[in-house]
Amino acid sequence: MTPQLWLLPALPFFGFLVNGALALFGSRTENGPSRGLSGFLGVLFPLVSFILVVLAWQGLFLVQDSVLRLNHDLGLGLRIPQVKPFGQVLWPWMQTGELNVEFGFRFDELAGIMLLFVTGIGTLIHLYSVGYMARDRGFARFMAYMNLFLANMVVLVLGNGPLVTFMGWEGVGLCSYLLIGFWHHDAANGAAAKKAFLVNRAGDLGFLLGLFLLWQVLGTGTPLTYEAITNWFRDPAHAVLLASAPVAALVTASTLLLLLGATGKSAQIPLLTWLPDAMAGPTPVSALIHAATMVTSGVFLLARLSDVFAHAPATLQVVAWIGAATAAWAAVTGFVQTDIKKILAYSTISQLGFMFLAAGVGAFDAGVFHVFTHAFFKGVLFLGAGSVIHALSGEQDVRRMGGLWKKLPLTFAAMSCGWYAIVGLPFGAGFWSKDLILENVLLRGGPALYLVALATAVVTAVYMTRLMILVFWSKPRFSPDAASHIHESPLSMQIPMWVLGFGSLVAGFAWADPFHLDWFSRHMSESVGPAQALLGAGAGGPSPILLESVGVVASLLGILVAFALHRKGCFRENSTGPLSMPARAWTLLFDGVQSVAGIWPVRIVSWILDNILQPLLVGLARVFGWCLEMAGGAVRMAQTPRLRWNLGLSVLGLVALLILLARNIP
Amino acid sequence: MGDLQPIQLQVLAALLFAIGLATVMARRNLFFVLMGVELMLNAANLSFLSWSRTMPGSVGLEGQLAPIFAIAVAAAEACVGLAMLLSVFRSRESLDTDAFDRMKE
Repeated sequence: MTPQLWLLPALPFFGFLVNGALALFGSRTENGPSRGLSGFLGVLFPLVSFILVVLAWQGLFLVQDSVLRLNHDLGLGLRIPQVKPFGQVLWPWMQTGELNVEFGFRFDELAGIMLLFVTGIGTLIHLYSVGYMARDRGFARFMAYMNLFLANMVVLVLGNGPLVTFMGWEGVGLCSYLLIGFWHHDAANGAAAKKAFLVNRAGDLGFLLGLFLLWQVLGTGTPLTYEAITNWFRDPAHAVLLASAPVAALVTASTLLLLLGATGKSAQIPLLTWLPDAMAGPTPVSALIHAATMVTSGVFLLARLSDVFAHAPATLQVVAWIGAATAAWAAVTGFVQTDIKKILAYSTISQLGFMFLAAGVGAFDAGVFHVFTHAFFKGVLFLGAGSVIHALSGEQDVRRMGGLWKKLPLTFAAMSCGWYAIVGLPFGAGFWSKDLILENVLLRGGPALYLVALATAVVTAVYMTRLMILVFWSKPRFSPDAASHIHESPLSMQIPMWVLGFGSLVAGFAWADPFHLDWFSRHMSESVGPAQALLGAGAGGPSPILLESVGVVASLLGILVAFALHRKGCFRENSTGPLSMPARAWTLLFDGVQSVAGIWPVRIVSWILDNILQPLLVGLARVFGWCLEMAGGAVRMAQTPRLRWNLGLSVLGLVALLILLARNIP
Repeated sequence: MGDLQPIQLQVLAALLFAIGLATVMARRNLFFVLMGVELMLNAANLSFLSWSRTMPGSVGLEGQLAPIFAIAVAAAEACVGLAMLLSVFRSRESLDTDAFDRMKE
């Protein structure tokens, strides 16, 4: 029986259709479409999709378990692959003879793990949105966009080849655009949405070009599926070919272009400017799209094509340094922000930098593991921030918060779990994944990268503690008027926060080597194992326990620094220090680079088109039209109003026609 | 002088047609134009009849039937044509075809 994988994206897509119809037909009514109905449907479809993902995940092992046990019991010693990925081809997509692409899905362990948290956390955040957006007029439209996003994200992860992934890749970009500009009555939101879309387009161009180059490497006979690409690169018969200079150069160029695509989606240097602006969207959007799922698709792509990247060591160096630079720079920038969501946005960029760093040094599984844990703790941090904003009736400036732990104890508890995880205190989710990355960076990448990463970990602890101090612990700084409205958020917003808060405490145990828990790495070995083996494990280094202790010391140091700075009054409302320069100035650098490299050339070309080429073309068209007019005038002279002349000319024409016909008759 | 030859009939029809055409083209009075048209129609009828007798292998009645239809249509056409002629004369006070040039503008 073919597994019906198409159901996974189709269910949220159906939710999009239903909610879209509700939004369209309900918009004329006085109260807008029914919130209960669209909220129920909007959560139901992702939930069913999540359940199906769990079933499919179980299905991966169902048949194999008995075979494995038999193998073990009888002592056959056969090397049986642990799982057998299953796929479903839906229809032939492009059949040109040279390029043959089939539209289909493939469910393996990497896709399964991604899907488990994409649909699981997606469902939770849909539930959260029901509470958060309840008073919004465009509620049904919002749920429709969210469902559409989830459908596209599932296509992205589940696609059996890069082109299917690209379809989802574009789809999530579209939904990101729609949701950032969701409150489009404010022109600034529309501008932020446009920026996100255009910056992503620059990355998408890299993705496509990289894909074409990759296809050139593979040769026209290979179908464009992950399975074929992976097997091609793993095939020992191709090792000599890959070692030759032209092919190696082609692979490097291709991976560099694919990396550009990944940096666009994952907001890394140089295409990172869109993510802070993307915070203009509603907070559940920031949590789901711009923290937990979509922005991690760049890391997902690196892991998916790890066998390709493993053959381009130069590219991996670039990946590692891009990751390290982005992580460090974004962490420092996050420290000087005053908007609670912007702090978290820069934090996201910084954490994504960690994931790129891990992938760059060849520890793809550690990178994806950080994607996994990050989805939990960044999810709860954003949901908590949304709850705070909700309670303060839209206030986002951390300088006008403070002392909220008494007023919002549940939110405080959930966010504390997220904080505990992200700063990397022992046994939280971030502790395991971040220390794993640090360990791999030291062993495989060298001390320079390790020091950058460690310093970033300290700064991470500083800015996250600063956030918690300013929002929850310090003296209240909001107006008494605002204080009277403060209320804890409804249950639909609380449940997702608890679940994710709990997850951010325990998710790290999916891969905790000291406790001999390796569930995560076991399931990643099939997808990225060969690539990592090719790159080598690196020389032996200090013991993991020592490195973990160093990581914890770094976190504690950061927390202490934050409290010390707080005591000295550096976080006060009107403090003006060297770090208190306008938050915007920190992004200006990259905005400037982008305008020089991307926007100005386009402007110059469009100026030339507008002022030189267009008048030329218009002039040519005018001249041509004028010629036609003259010719028409001349022909008009031949027209006569005389009936007798008309008739005579007709007869002449008829005679000419008859003569012609007669000549053709044999 | 022998029997009537088919070619003679065809030449007669062609002559009649030419006379009709010349009438239409040469006369400016709308009355005579209509009469020329009738003459051309009857020339065609004569040609039909002639062919129906002389066409090799033709035994059917098509050649004789077609003129009957043509005569019927010609009658209707004459009717309508005369009615239009009256109407034109009432509005323009003239039957000179060269005066009717308002379509040019």
